[in-house]
Amino acid sequence: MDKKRKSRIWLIVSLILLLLLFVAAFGGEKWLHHAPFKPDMRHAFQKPCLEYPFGTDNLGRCVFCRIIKGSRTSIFSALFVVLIVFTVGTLLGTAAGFAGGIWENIIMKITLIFQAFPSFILAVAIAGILGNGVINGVLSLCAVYWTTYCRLARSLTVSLREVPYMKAAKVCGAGKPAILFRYILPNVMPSLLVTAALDVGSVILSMAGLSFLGLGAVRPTAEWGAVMSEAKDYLQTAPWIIVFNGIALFVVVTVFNLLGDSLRDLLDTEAEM
Amino acid sequence: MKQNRWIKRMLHAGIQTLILLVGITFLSFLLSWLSPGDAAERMLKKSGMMVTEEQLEAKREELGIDQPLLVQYKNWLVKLCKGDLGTSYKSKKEVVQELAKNLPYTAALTAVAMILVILISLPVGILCAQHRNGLFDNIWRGVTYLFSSLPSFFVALLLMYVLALKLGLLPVIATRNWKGILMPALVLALTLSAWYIRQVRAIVLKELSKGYIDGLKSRGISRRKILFGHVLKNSMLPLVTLFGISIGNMMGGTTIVESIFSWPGVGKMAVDAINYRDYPVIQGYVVWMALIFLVINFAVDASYQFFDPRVRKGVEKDG
Amino acid sequence: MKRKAAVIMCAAMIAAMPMSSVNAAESGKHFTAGATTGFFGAESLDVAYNWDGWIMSIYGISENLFRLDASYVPQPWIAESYENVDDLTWKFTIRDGVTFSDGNPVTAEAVKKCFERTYANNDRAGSTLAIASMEADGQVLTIVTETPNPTILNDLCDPLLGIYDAEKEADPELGVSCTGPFVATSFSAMTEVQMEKNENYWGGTPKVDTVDLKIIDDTEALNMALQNGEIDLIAQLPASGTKIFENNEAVTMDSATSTRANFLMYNLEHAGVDDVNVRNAIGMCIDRESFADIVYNGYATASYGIYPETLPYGSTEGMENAVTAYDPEGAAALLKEAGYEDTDQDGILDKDGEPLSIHAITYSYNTECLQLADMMQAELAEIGIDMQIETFDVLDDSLTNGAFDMAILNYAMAPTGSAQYMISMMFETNGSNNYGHYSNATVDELSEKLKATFDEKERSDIAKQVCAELLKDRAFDFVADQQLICAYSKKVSGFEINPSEYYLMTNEIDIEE
Repeated sequence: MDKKRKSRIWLIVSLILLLLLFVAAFGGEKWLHHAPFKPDMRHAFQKPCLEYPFGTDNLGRCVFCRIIKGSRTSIFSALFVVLIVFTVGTLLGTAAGFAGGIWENIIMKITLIFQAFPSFILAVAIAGILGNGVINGVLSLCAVYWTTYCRLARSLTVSLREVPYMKAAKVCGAGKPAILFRYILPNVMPSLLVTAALDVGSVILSMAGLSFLGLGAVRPTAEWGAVMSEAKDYLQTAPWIIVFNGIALFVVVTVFNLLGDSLRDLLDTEAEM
Repeated sequence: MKQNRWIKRMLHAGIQTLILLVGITFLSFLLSWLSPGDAAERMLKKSGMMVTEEQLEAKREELGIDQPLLVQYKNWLVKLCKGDLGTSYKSKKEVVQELAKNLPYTAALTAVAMILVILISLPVGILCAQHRNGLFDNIWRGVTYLFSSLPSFFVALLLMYVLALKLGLLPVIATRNWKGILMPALVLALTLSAWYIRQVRAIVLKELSKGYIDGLKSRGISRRKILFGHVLKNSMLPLVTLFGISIGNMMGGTTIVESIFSWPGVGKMAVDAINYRDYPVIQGYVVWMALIFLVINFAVDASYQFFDPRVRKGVEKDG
Repeated sequence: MKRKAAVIMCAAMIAAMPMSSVNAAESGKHFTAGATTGFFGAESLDVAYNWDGWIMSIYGISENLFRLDASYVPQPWIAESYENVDDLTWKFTIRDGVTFSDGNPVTAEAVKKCFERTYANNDRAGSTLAIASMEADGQVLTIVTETPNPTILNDLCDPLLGIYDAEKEADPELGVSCTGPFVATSFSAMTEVQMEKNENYWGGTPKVDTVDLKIIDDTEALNMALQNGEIDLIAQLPASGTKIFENNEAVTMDSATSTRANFLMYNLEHAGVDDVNVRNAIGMCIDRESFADIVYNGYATASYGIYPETLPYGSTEGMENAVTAYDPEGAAALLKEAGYEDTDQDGILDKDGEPLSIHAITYSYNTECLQLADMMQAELAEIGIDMQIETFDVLDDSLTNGAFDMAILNYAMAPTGSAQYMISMMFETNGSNNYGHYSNATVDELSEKLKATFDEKERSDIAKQVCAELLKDRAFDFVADQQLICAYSKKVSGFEINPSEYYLMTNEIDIEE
């Protein structure tokens, strides 16, 4: 019982933190008193000070303002990826597990084929085909992440097939859609939700990785990964640019991980991590 | 009777493997088919010549990329069966040679990184499980959060800065020897260990919560003996499987770490090939990946009967 | 048991790893240099392939008949002497006793064969030096040009006309045999080249035994490698690194005013940028001084002309020039005057229903070009021009296909010291690199005249007239002239920076052990 209470506290803490992040990402722009994109060359490479809490970058732009500006891209593109893969993967997975037979075989073969590629290289290949841009980055990451949900949903569904109350439902003449929506989906949801919460952080990091290879966000988007990959040239002379962006990334990823962990403990599921 | 069934099972497994192999290679063909730009144009225009449409046509014919997708795929499959993976557009060398040149580097990096992962994550994970929610556990929880929440290129730069520049312990550029491999391996190991520590901890905790442990305790067997004699032994199988999957993933190359440290492994090769539209190399690489994947998949399947099948995903930490 | 097997397997895998650099370090003096792809990145070791001859000259593998000195004057190299027989005919005497690294002697016949192969394989050769015929007799090579060519000696300095043994088929990995102080022993494109000294080098045995040239595109890794003593020299140090080495006592930084410039090339076939007013307005929005002082940390000079002021034809005095200062208000006014208005209130100016939107392309690895793009994007947005930036590892495809409105480029403007080089290559209607389809009859005419003029003073005047035309049209907008910077360890001696960017490795380079 103690454990549950503790994870409930953590859940609340992470939800509050998440709320704060959302407020900063959505509303933060109103409080910014520097333009995030306009260069101000006279103020290039300023150390953190009152005027510029996180210093300025190589073109004299306020690092703090750019982080706030970029948070929307970083956080929401990741949420978008997770939403898509969660939906697609869950639907395909439950359908496969529920239908069984040849359909199950085909769907699972396709997931296996996608999985055979090292995830990051698959993303690079697809992003290379689609060209740069946040949307294309989102799509290529979707191609990588959906398999997890499909496999998890399917294996959970399969394990439900033989559960007594399912058999009972069938015997009682419940229709297929009813079984699917009333019994299967509610039962597979917790594990999948936890997996989704835990994946957000990892998607944010993958997105940053794509940007690092020049395949993610296009200019002038202040996506954190893209900013960091350019700021690395100033690691020695103006470390604040990359460090503060790194901290922002760390904070966001950690909040999502906390959320996922506490959800898992609370729901007592075994999500794939 | 028994032998017959065995043959049947092997046949089934073989067919399944074949289907997978065809699917994987076909997907890679599809990807290169869809990519914009054309290898013939790239090759000719780069040579410094103004090219005519006829020359382009001729080159496309020579490369065989003027054929429909399925014909190209069939030709490639036929060649593959003869053990011929084609010639790289870029280096004009056999793809097999290219792979053979880059693979040892990736293999070495994988080996060292995995050894480090095991050395770090096993003891830490076990200790964390043992002192659950204690100070040690909480500190490591923070550390693992830190390393799993930072992009690997950032970790790479920080390590470079601290270990190479400030402390002078390791070289920045991965020289192709023992010292040079440590830094890229360490970056991989740190980000991956962060994940493994939590896995080890979870697996050990799960084992500790099982009923037989109480039985052992009540029989007065020492905690040490329970831990090493039973818990660890039983936790090994799921862990070995996870390690296997990670090794498989890493043998596919680690793009970012390999390129930051100028380490000439297959991951860097693959990304360069993608950028250059070097289709033969991309396809050769995919065959290699498919092989690893199938082997690992087979090994995992084989070990499934020993433990809970739900924990089975390895990660490729390359964000 | 299993664990033991695993350990043995790991050990075997590591042992299988080629330990190339270890071998190299075993005997004699070893020199290591690093640079980014832009300076060290060859795709092959074939002089005639694309721009690889240039890189091979930097490597110290290939050499030319003539070599530029620090003030861009051609000096005899593989050629010992020359004689200008008449306007069209030149006789070159090839130095005695020079051999290719494969042992074959360099004769006039060998040079002729080499040029023939290069001309057959690379179109740029013809526009560099138009040869009508060649004749070889012992060590004397007679070249007859198609038209009188006053800059033939400069042209012969272009590394594309590097001398190699064309008799032998090029090796797929190690390329062609040349005459330079170093010979490649292993080559992996865009990654690394390993070389050993050419024992029979005609200019005296090189002082270092083995050389390792590494391509490191992560500039911070490059800087740290030099700080850490892993490499001995950074060639063409990116400007962001200069701050690190300014106060480093173990490192020397040399810089030379090169002719390398950051510039914009407009695609005149695309709407919007085909209007000279738009191009002028864009030009006014660039804060060139800040770009040179901050992005380049002062290792560049703001440019309002065409060629660097250091060249005899670089001054823009007395020329009609619409852009002489950073003036965004002026730009806005100019656009308004030219009829651009934001009629649909979307923040982007438009004319005849067409919004003023520019698709800019640039190199993904050139941080200075990228920063210029960033600066321009924000500045242009302020006055209502939408600018989209796309970056590429290899720009050639997009340039030749015309898939750009504006290209942000970085070229050496007069690497051979001759204004003719860039005029023929980029400003002439049929220039091989005139991707924006610039065409100005006066420029073409002046270019032909320049090709036939021998008098230096007159040549400068013609080049200036070309510049005046270019300034008026602003199909090319030059933003800053950068310096070539090399940073190297104090242990290195005998290194001389050459502004032409053609040379780096020489037999004189030495390193203290």
